[in-house]
Amino acid sequence: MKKQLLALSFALVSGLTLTAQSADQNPRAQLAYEAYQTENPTDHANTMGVTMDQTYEAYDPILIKEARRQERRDFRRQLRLERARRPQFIAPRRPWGWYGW
Amino acid sequence: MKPFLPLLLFAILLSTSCNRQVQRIETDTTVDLSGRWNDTDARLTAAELVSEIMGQPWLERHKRNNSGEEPVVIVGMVENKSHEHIEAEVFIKELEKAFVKSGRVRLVQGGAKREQIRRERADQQNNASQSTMKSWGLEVGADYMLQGSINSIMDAYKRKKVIYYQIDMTLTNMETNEVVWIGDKKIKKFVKN
Repeated sequence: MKKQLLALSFALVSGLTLTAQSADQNPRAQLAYEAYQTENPTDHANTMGVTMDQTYEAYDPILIKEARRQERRDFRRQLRLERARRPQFIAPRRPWGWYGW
Repeated sequence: MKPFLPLLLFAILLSTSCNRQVQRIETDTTVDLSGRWNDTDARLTAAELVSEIMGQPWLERHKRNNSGEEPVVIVGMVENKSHEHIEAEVFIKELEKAFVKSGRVRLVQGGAKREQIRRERADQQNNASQSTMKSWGLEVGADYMLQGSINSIMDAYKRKKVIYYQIDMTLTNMETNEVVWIGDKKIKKFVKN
């Protein structure tokens, strides 16, 4: 009899605890779950365990100087190629433009 | 002397053209060349994060609240918001290794690797024998997700620059969204060109 009472009280306590837990859950939990069901599972998998690059360009005077130098080099190369392609090509000179050659 | 001249020239050419040297060094050696993020930074970050995550109270608290069960962790996304390309996998793998080696934290696979496992399991449903075929719906659900971000600040003037990196990792409870652990590693460098 004692054992049965003990089992009954245990079941009652467990039942109450479970009810309390579910009562605390938001009643619209199913809606929230369904909202995420439309997402493609592969899209989600692609964001897991990876590094997402959102890098920015930092101000570095040395790199900027080097980029400008490279730009000038490319421009002069283009100019040389253009001159070789068209022998009649006359590059504008000062004051309309001077290309440093 | 004359017949030896081409030979001598060839010898000089050979000796000057092959000047590349490759030297094997220990993986824990610090070699700073450009001042950018390098293997030493990744190693230091890994060491700091491993010691922090394994020594914090979240582990014991989880066990206490879950009748001694080890926490299950999944690795989420790491956002690199710095000015350089930094691959977080290098130090994340160290964290994963520490989890598995210690036996105190369980790890579940995520991302593309998990997709591959699921595809293989699907393939087994058609090709494997019934006794060896693995069932669906028995994966271990993660208790926590590990996420992180990498930030940097650079200050440069003429030929000098100071670079600051901050790597933050957080562990969040999957059910309650509670952040149970935050770890970080800060690195500052002064570079003079």
